[in-house]
Amino acid sequence: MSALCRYLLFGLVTWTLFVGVPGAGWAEYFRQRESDLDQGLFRIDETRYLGVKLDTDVALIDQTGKALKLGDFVDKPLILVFSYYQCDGSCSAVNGEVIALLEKVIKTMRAGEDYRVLTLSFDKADTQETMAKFIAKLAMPPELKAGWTFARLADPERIKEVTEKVGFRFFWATQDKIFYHPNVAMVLTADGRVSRYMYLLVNSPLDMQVALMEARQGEIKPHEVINYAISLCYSYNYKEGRYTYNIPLFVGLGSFLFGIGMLLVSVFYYKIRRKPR
Amino acid sequence: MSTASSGFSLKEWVFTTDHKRIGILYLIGSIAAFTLAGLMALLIRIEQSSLGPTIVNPNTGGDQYNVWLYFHGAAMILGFLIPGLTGFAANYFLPLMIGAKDVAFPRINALSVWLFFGGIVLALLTFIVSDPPDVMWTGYPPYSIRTGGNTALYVFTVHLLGFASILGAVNFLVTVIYMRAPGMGWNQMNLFVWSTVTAFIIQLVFVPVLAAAVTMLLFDKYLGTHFFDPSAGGDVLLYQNLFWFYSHPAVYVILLPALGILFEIISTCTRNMVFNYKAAVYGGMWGIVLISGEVWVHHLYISGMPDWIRIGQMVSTLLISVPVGLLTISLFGTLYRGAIHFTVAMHYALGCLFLFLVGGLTGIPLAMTVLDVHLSETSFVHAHFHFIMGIFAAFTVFAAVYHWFPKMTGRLPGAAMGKLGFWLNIIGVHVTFYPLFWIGVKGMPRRYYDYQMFPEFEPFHKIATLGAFIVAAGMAVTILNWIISAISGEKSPENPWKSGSLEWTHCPSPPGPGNFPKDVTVTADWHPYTYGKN
Repeated sequence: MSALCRYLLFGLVTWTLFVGVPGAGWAEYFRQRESDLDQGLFRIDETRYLGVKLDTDVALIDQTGKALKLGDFVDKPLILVFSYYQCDGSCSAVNGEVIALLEKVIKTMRAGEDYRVLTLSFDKADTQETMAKFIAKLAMPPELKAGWTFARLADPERIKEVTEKVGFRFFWATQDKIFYHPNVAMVLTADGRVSRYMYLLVNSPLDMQVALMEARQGEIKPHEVINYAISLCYSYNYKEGRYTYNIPLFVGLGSFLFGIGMLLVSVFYYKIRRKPR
Repeated sequence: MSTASSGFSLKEWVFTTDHKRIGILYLIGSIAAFTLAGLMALLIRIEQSSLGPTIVNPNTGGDQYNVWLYFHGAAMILGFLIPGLTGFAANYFLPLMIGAKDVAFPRINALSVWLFFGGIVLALLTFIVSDPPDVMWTGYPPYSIRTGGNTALYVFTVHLLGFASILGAVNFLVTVIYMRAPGMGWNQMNLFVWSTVTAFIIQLVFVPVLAAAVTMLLFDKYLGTHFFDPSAGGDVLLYQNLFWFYSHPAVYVILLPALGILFEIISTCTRNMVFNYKAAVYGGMWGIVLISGEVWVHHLYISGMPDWIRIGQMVSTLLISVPVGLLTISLFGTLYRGAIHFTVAMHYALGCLFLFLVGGLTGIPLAMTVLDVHLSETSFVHAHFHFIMGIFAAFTVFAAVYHWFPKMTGRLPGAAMGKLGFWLNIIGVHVTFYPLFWIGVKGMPRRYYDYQMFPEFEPFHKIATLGAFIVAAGMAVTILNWIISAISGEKSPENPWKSGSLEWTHCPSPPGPGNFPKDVTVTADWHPYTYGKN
């Protein structure tokens, strides 16, 4: 072996040991991991499910053991969150996110009076105990407690029927022993129809407030007129999953003011022009 | 006495800044639009006269029919009714009625008529381009964005005609405010002048909203924006709101000058003071201006909205019948104990009162939410707005042409042919639209070229089509009468109807440049309607 070859071999081994291996490890560490699951699977087809009405006769058991019906929640707007109480992943985060958003909305709308929240388990294995543990982990402010119910279905066999009705799909991953499910809160109108899906990671408190205001379908109290007017300034962007400015409204309003401006200017301009110098 | 220039010069007409010639140009353009729109109406009626495709291509039937509907609606409203009333009538008569020598901005006035003709040419391209617009006159998205039709032609037509009317509005408002004859107070103005002022205020304030809406439509279709695309944060219903925010007040832009013309004719031909002049002006016309911007939502009752908005809009829509009622009372009151002269114009004016009653009364169920949900998008609506807007306003334009024919031409219009045309028109209108009211209540949808699901409606459509041909005959007789009378009609005296209005008493027929041989001054006791005192 020639000296040149030896030097090259030595250089290659050295580079591999000190640069290549750490570099590859470094690159692997920072590599954007691709999920094994297509996130699109969890996306709810809003064109199909918006406006769907929940079955009001579905029997529930709440955190106190009291028997309820889904119909008990449909006299005012409802935020419905499907979770499972043994979830050690996103369910706590999803409920926590709803709490964080609603804490900002508390000043304008009150839980229990203006809307309700229902966290409903989609896991047959959930019990009163798992539910209690789940609730204990959430830092629920007292203002929200009054309007927030945690529950599970009295008849677990109806879970699929209830979730599929509103387009919520979930899968049990045997290997990971977790449910894969969309992180979504559904906003329902006072007659139990789905009016908005909120994909929580992209939503702001304003989104939640506007969604709740929309869900009230124009039934507003006198002190909410300003909030209602603000809600009209936004329209839901299905691509981005959040509310964005309703630009045509501003353009229309601007052009209306332009018309009034022209009326005034045309009259006053001529008056000024006619004044003797 | 006439100071009119002799001889015809095309250049003088094209580049004229004379308000009277501009008025005549508006009349020619708007009658041309009306004629073509009428031909489209005949095609529509022939198509509906039998079940299945009648004259449309069975493969592209819907598209072809949509193009006819588009042209008929756009040409009638944007090309005939608004320019006919606020372009022709206001241009010719308003400065004469207030004793002005011209309008405040004559060159802007000329620009406005050029823009109007530009809009008419764009509308006519519908018959030339391979992808004509097929979006009705409303242009609702998402259809107007997805269609293969040329939405741009629609948008630019609206732009040009809208801009023309804005220029006209500025001009006439300034003219009335500052160029009235010395001594003429606000309460001495003709009701046509008042009606034009109020119509132009509505036009000036609301037209920019329509222009903005159709511009955003253009951007959505051709530049890939998403103003009205809900999937990207746009608001598709907002277009309907913006459109009707202008287009319902536009009904009053048509209605007000039309009523103003009726006041002039009825007062003159009954030799009577206008009944309740101040109530008509301040309660009726200004009442309409104030309420007109709050009633558009009744066009969207079935589009989804909170109940309280529906009820609020129902109340405000019904409320506008109060000022309209004041104007109606004034019109009928003016007839009371009048010495009625049945001129051709008076025939049309009386016909208009009846059309107005039918159109107004059939509007009440459409204002009421419970009935409107059933009647929306049926031929009942179609028949209603043809009575209250299309035919009523068209008849007032004909009445205006007949009444001021001696003023414009110096000749009397042929009375026999005029009355024949009137009777054909009024009979034809009723034969056409009463069946449509009836089948509308039964569920006949609007805008369908075929109605296989309702074969029982076919005889009604046949009757309606017969009526349309009677109207067409009436219109042909009318226009022919104008042409014959203008060429060889009997010479008219200076004031054939014995009117007290300035355009008849102080200026020759036809008026020359500068309108009045001498400066006009009016006294405090002068009024255009003081017939009882003379």
